[in-house]
Amino acid sequence: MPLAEAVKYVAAAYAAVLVGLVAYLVSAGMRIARLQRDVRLFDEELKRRGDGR
Amino acid sequence: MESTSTAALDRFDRPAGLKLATTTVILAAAGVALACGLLVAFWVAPTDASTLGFSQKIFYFHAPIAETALLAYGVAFVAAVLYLRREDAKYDRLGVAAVRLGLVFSVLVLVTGSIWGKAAWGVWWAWDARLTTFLIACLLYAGYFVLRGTVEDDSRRATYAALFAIVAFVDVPITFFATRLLPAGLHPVVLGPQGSGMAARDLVAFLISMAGMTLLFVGLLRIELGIEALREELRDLKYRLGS
Repeated sequence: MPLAEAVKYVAAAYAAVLVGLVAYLVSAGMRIARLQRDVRLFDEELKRRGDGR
Repeated sequence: MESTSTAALDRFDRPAGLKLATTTVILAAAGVALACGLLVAFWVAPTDASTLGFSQKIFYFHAPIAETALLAYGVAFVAAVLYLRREDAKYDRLGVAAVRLGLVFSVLVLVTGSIWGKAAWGVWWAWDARLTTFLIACLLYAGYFVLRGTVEDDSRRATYAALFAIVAFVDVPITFFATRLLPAGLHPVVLGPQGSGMAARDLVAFLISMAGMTLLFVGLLRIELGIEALREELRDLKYRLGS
């Protein structure tokens, strides 16, 4: 296979790994932020009701 | 007195916390190892002399990602066995985290493998034994989450998921040994009974990338476990609020 063509495949494969990992990390960050927000809200509600301890 | 939910939040909110610091160190080490693996793969390891040529460089990430995906499913299997023996929710959380990461790595394997397949064989996909059994593993573990979504009760969900993870794991050794059992297939044997068949410099690049990918898996697993702990805390709070 000519080098110029092989380079395209190699670049595409490594780019796919990079994009996939970044997408996963963004997704994980969003899940953490959403869960933290929900836990805070429910925790505050529990405390407001007076039975949070 | 601090509530348990605040303690759960601290897992992420405390920047100097030991867990977060350890995870950061592991992920940084993974980044360094993967960068070193790439450097060795592209500047030290010789270009493949066969028809693959330069496209063989895909191997240095593709194979370690594949091995890590199978490792993740192995962790899920061990977690499932431990859950059934001890009925401790932490093993259920470990199983969920491992399967999720296994699927992430599996998608990366399928994508990079497809690109390499096009370069090496001229097709994006072939019904080769290794590829087919790996695809079956992916579909099985995707089903793991479908199953979890159908069971309301926490204990029953964890038990069913553990049983499913044990059954699904049957496909993992089949996938690993597929190229040895059916050597006529397209996919090459990476680590066979006679060793890797790689030159020393190729093997060094592969092993460094393998170490980096394993460290990446451990770091991401710790993040996923933190997420699962938060999710469980939220379930507990919802239960206490009666909503």
